Amino acid sequence: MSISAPSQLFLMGLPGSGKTTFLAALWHVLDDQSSATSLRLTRLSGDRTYLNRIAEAWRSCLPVERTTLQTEEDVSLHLEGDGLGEFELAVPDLSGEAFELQLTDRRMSIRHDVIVQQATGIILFLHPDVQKGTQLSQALELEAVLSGTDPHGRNGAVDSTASVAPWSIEKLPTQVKLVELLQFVLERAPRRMRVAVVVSAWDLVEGMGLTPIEYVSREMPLFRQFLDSNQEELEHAVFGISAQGGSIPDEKSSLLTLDALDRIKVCHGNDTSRDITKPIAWLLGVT
Amino acid sequence: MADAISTAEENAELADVTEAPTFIELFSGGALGAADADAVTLRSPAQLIVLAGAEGSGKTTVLASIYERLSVGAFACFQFAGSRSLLGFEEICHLNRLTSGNARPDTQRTVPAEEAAYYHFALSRGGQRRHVLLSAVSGELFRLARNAREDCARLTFLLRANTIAILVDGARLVVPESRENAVADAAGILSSFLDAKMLRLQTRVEFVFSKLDRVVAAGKNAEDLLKKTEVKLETKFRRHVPGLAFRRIAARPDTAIGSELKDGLAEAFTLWSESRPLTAADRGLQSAPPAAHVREFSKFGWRYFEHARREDR
Repeated sequence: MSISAPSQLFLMGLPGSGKTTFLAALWHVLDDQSSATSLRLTRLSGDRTYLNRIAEAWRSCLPVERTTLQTEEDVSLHLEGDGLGEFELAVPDLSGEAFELQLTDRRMSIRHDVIVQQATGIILFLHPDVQKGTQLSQALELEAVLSGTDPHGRNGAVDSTASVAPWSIEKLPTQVKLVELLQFVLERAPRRMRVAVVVSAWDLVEGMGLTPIEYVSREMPLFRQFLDSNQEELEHAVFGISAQGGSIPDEKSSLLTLDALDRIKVCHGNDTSRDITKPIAWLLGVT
Repeated sequence: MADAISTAEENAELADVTEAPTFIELFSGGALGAADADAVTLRSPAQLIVLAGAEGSGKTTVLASIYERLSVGAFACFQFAGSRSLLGFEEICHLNRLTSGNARPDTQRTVPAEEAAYYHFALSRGGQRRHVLLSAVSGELFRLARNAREDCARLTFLLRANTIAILVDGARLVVPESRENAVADAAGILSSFLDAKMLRLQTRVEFVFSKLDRVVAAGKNAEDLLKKTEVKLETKFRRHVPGLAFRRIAARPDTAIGSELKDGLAEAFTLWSESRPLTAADRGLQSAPPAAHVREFSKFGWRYFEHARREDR
C-alpha cells in the first residue's frame, strides 16, 4: 500500500451550476461504499460536518445549500483507486459568486490564486440553463424562415420603438464567461491542467440524444473551440451528470421512491453509469 | 519599555498583515490600449489589421461580425483559441443581441478617442497558433488625418500594420447625393497616409467596399458603378501602392439578399491574418527605423519586418 502526495482539484463554475450538489452526491456514494466506483474512500476525513450537512439535504431531495463567499469550504478526501494507491484529495468547494466576481471586478482572491497554483485538475460545471447570447440577426433570420416575412421588418414586422438595454458584464453569454474564467486559470497556472467539464442536470438535456461533448459543441461552440485549441495547456473531457436525478421540487416525490444511488447518472461519450467518481478518476489519470 | 517594544512589534506585524494584498489583478478584458497591445505582441508575433474609413463605413461591424461568426463555430478555417478583449467584443456586439432589447441588428459606434484601441484574437489552424489584433479607430480620427498631415502622422500604429483595409461605404455609394463623397472619403484617407509617409512597402493595402448587400439590392447599375469606382481608385493609386487590392464584403448582410450573397468576410479575414509575402521589390529595400518618439507598439512593426526581411535573404 502506497500513500501518494496529496492531489488538489477544485470545483469551478458559476452560481447554481451544480458544484455543491455534485459534492453532496459524491460524499454519499463514497461514504455508502455499496456501489462499484473508480475511486473508493479509505478513511473518513477529519471534519465531516459540511459534507454530512450537504449530503443530508441531497438524500432528502432538498435543495442543497449554495456555497457563498462566506461559506467556502476546504474538503479533503482520503481515497484509493486502481493504479493510484491511497491518496489524499483536496477539493475546495468554491462559491460561484467568487467566480462571478472575478468576471465583474477583474481580480482573483489570493486564496483562489493559491488553489489554482497548486491544482492539477479542475471540474468545471455548467448548467444547461445558460445565457446563450443569441444574435438578433440570426433570430430574425430564423423567424423570417418560419413565417415567410421580411427579416428586417420592412413590412412593419419589427417593432422599432423597442427600448434598448445598456450592455453590462452580467449579460455575457455563459460560454464567454467560462472561456474568460479558464483564461484566468491559464494566466495563473504554472502547469498543464486537466479539465473535466461537467454538464450538470444532464437529465434536462439527455433527451436531445447527444453525447455530452456533442451537446457542448452544439450549445457552446466558442467554449468548445477554446478547449480544443488549448489542448497543450488544458486537456479536457466532457461528462454529463445528473446528480440530483430530476428537478426539485417538481419531481421530489418520485425521486424519493428511488434508492439514492439510483438517482445518479453519469454519461461520458456513449457510456452511462452511476459512478460519480468518474470525472475525478479521469482527472487523476484513471481512464 | 519592553511592553512598548512589544506593542510596536505587534503593530508592525499588524501593518504587515493589513498591507498584504488580498487580491491579484486580472486583465481588463476590454478593448486594448497601446500598452496592452504591446504586451500581446511581445508574447508572440501578431498580425495587426487596421480598419480605416469614414464614420459609419462599417469598421466596427466588420470587427463585431468576425467575433460573432467565431462565436457560433470555426470561421475562415480558424478555431477560436482565446482573446484578451472578450468583454470589448461582447460590448460592440450588444446591439445585435436579443438581450439588448433592440429591434434591428446594429453596431455600437466607436467612441471618438485620441488613441486607437485594439481587439485581440488568438486563433488556431492546423495546430498552429496565431495572434491577430484588429484596430478600432473612430472615423473622426481618420477625418482629422485626411485634413492635416500632423494629425495623420500621429496615427503611428499604421507603421505597425500588416494590413490596412480602407472601407468604402457601399450604402453611401448607391445614393446619388453621397456617392462621390463616399469615394472621396476613402481615397482621401489613403492619400493622407501616403502624404504623411505612414505606409510601409510591406503593408497590404486594400480598398474594401462594405455593405455589399446594399449595392446588390440597388441593382446592376450600382454594381457597374462599383466596378468603375475600383478602376478609378486603381488608376489613382497603383503607382504609389503597387500591391493595392480591392475587395467587397457584406459583414452583416440583409438576410433577404444575404442568403444568395457571397459575403466575402471569411476570405478577407483569412488573407488579412496572413503575413504578406515579401516581394522582389521589398527585398533589398532598407526601411528607416522609426523615430525615437514613436511608441513601442509602432516600433514593433519595424523590428518584426526587419527580422522577416533578414530571414528571407
